[in-house]
Amino acid sequence: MSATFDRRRIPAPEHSTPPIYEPLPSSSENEAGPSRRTDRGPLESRPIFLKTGLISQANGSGYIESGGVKIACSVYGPRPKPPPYSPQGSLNLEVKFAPFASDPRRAPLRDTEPLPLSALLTQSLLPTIHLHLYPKSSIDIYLVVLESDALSNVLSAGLTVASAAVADAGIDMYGLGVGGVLMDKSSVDGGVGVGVEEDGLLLDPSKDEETRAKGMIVVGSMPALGKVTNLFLTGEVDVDQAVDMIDKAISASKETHTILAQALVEGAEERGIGPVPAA
Amino acid sequence: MASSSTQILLPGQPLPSSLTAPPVPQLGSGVYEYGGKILASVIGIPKREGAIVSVIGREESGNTPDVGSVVTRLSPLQAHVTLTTSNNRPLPESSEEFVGVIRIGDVRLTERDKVKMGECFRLGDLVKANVLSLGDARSYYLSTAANELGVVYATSESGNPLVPVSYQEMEDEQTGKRERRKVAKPEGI
Repeated sequence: MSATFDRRRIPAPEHSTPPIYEPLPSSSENEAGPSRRTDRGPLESRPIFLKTGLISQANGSGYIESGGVKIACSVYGPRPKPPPYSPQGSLNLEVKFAPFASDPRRAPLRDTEPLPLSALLTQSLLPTIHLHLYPKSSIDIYLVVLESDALSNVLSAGLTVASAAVADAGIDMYGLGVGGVLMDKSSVDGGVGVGVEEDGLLLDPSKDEETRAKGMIVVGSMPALGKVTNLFLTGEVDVDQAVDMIDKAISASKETHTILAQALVEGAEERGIGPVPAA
Repeated sequence: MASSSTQILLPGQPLPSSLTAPPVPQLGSGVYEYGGKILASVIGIPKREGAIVSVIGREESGNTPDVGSVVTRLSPLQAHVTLTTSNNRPLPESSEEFVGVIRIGDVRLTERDKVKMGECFRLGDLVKANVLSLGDARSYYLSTAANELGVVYATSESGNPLVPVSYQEMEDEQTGKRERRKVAKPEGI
């Protein structure tokens, strides 16, 4: 018997019974969680945790938690770019999802979602960087999504954390880019979400709220300069309402900008950029 | 008249008015002008030295002149170097390195035609140079054609540090042997 034992297989017992779980106390609809809207109003933004300088190998890095989204971002560069010569710096941005980032699990390599997301994020981030100061160089940005819920939230949190990491790397920027999401809730299903009123607009929608969206806008902006870097609109919205949504998203971005600025100043002080003694 | 502030600025934040007071200053590194205002472009401390305002951040990119570098490869016509510092600040660490080339014509200011590469640089020398241009696709073109540019630190054949004795000679203090280099004029002399 022992001579024919196969070491490479796990010998399963001949009989087995599945484990019995106690039923969960409440249905998932009213359950509290980081990605759900429990105690915040329709135009109140999510709490955000942001920290820079956590990845020591990178030239600059940032980590963000916003609702059900966790993203780690690292920036390498400016590093010399192989030929051909380019008078401007080039920006390479790559979004990767961890296999455990979403439910159901993602198959690595065959995942096609990161590609359009990377392109969108690149577009949102490009106007914030002084690329003309970096000829013959490239700036490489890698975002690893550790946990994700709604795509719009990944996009807006991704922009916020990427500009934090770029600033942390000491790369010249026009201003800090932050993302904001505003959703127009469909009036057809008659208000399923919690505490929804005020012309059906929702800031920072959660995943189950997003499924009821009639239209949605992700705005990338530089609040310090009052400029918009990118607009991503899905669904169907009136022009007037779209303008209103953009305005509301931008004013929400200002709050995010405050958090971002605070995190960057704290990170800079930790790295030793602080009050210098008079020379 | 150097003055600085203790407040950390972030990209897009205007410089304090005490630093941008008339006469309107020139822009140094880490700042840019937008809508008539001077804004910071990196995280750092603003500083005004004479007529130039700048924001001093953590690191700087290597595409600016005045570079310290290490010789990695020598050929009769040019010396290949890797750039390590720029404007007295280290270049960002990365797996690839910025490379530069000192062509034989750019080694010395005078008697350019008599320059022999082997009598100016050796492998492993630490060289201070100016960036002439962005160069070709691969490397920056550097120049040591000035008195204060050239070899800053070198070791002799027996491995001891060399001390400059003249503008084209360095001496090993332990063996007394002299070797030829394109020596940088030491600072403060």
